[in-house]
Amino acid sequence: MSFLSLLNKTVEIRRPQRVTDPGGGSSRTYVTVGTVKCRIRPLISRLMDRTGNEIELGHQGGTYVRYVMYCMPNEDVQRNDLVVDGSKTYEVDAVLIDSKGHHLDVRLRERQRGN
Amino acid sequence: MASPFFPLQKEIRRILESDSSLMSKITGVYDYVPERESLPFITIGEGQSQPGPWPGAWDVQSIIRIWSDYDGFKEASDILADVDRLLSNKHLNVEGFEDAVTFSPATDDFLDIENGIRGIDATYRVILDG
Repeated sequence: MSFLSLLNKTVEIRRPQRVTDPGGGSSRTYVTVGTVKCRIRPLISRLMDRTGNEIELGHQGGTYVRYVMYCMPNEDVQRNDLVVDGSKTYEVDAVLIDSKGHHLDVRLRERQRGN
Repeated sequence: MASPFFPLQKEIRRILESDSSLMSKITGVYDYVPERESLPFITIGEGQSQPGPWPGAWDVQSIIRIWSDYDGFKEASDILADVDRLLSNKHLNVEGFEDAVTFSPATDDFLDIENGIRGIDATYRVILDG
């Protein structure tokens, strides 16, 4: 079975574009830069029996669930990009490449919100 | 002597949520923030109090906390300008009290790099006359 045949979905890659404000900060909008064939699976920590971690964000609870996205090594994916898969949106935490340059191992996180 | 905290909190929330300019910049004013709400928002309810300068009076420090995920302090500063317009040097109508006078706030910026959050605490001194 080839690696390509394991890439079972196509996702959209959106990249932050910044406009600097007069105080040195920047506003951020996202622009679609392409699509990528990939496979996404939850990143399960077997030691801790969990896929995410509780967070406190601005006086607000929630959790980040971690995923790995596999794709071809020449794909243009960068940290802080958004990966959009239908109704799901993931943030790119890090992009790793295996020692043989065979594929990219893209670390994603998804913020899940409860009621 | 009744505690001024919750009546004051209710009045501050009513004033802030009644202002269309402020509400166009935030998702809401909360004590408890539901997980589904998005930044930027304001939290209220924290503070401290002590007996006021005459019998029946309270001297309260009420903290208005502005939370933002903008990449810089501009958004929080813009929101603070509205909050300040609404709350500085005013007479508030606080249930159970004859008068409540506010002063200009002490402010303090905060930064949470890991979660990409910036914010400003504005602490308003309020003298309530029972």
